[in-house]
Amino acid sequence: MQIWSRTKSALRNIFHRQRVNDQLDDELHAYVDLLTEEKIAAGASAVEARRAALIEAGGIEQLKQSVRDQRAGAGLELFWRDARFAMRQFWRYPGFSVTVVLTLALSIGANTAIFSLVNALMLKSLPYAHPERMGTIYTRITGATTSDERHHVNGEQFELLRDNVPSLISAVSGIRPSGVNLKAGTHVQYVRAGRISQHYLDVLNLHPILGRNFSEAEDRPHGPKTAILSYGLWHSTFSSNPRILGQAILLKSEPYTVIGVLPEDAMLPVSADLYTAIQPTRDGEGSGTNFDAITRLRDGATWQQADAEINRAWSLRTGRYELEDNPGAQVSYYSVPLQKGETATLRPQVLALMIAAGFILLIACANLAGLTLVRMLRRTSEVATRLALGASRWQIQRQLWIENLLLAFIGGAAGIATGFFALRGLLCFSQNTSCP
Amino acid sequence: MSPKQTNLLQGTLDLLILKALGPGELHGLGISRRIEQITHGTFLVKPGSLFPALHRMEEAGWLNSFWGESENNRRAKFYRLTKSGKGQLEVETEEWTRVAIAMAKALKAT
Repeated sequence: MQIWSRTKSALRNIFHRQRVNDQLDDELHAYVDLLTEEKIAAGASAVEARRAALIEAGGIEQLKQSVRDQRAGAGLELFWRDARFAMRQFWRYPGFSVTVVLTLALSIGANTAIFSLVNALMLKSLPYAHPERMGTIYTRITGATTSDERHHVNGEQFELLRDNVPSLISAVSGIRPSGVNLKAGTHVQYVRAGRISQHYLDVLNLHPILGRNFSEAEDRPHGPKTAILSYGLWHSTFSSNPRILGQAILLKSEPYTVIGVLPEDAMLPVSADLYTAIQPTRDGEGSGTNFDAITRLRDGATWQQADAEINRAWSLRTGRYELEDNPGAQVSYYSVPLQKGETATLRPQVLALMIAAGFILLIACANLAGLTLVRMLRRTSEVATRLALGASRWQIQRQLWIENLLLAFIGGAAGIATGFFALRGLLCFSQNTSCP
Repeated sequence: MSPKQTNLLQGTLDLLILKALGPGELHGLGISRRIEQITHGTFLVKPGSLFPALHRMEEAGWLNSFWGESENNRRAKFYRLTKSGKGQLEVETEEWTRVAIAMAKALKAT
């Protein structure tokens, strides 16, 4: 009840300021008149009575001010007045204001963009179900030359992984998507095509919203040529046609049958517009390490079991490329979380960027502190004048706080905008593709 | 002045104004004269505290005001208690009585 009443009054005070002030003026003058009359009745002369009444009231202007300070919404009004004053100050010293806003925008923007990357790459978990059960395989070699890193795998390794490691669902993809011409009817378009094996989407736990996954026959060498579309391509090029399944499209002039469409938010480690079955072989492409492997731990299995199975399976291979330049070396394989495996190469670069951006922010802060200090020194006389005119220390402090916070707020907003564009730039740069 | 003391004084002034308006409407000068009278001259309410308090209490919905004519036919702004102001008077009277009794007991204790 009281809050409602005060809110109503605050609105009235703000929107009908003139009328409220006039009424107050009338009221106080009437009060002084009454007081004067009282004094005349007590025997004072008209002039003297008026003087005494004014003295007793303590000055009409001061009285008005003390009422105004009490009113509902007074704080808001004061804030608004200070904010307007601050804006006028910014216009008066555009050099200072622009420098501060730009410094903040650049330093905050750089940090926002790079932290977004760090957050996505290292802090947030992958956008798949049970990301802790997803992995990839590292190869540890100890011998004349030592290394411990993720290797690409060859056709034989993948077949052993698929057939002899029951603890894992394993899948491979081509290392990067390739650009191909897509022809559908009369429409021709340049798209990025990724190649994935039969269970790739099962490892990621993604299910097509239309159609199905690749079958075993389709992932066999010389099997039927099929394609799964990304949601974006299906939506833009095929206008979300629900009867797309079974239609033929031409990729590099070869006919492929569309068998599925991925969900809208599906993100694959190989980002592409459409996917074809990789049809892995041991010879040709598969004779070298040309595949990227990812794995998902099956229910009830443990990573220890899986690693033991991988080591057993891969040590029985006919050709062991790891030993070719490094005879007598000890080779072992182990699973690492997919997130770590996927981001390992980017990690040092991104961390270096993060540290650099942190230093930029630090330098920016030091610069701004210096700049603000110099400006404050120049305004000493202004502050002295205001103190002399009767401003309280708190009023002056509040003014300075509002000025600097407003500037910081504008700079922060500009920083976020900069960060947004910088992040897009970084993503384009890292994907090495043309961004829309 | 510590904030606690200010609150106590403010509370006192509010209660006195509510009490002064209890019997009926009064204008600003009338309120301060009435307070002077009912406290036997102990409290002289200066306009510097009276008007801010009146406006605050009006905004809180305890009082409402209207323009009228004084005893000697002068225009003046009158205040009177609203329904919620009457409630507030009861609440504050009760509260004040309790505090006053407690204080009196505390000061008499040996």
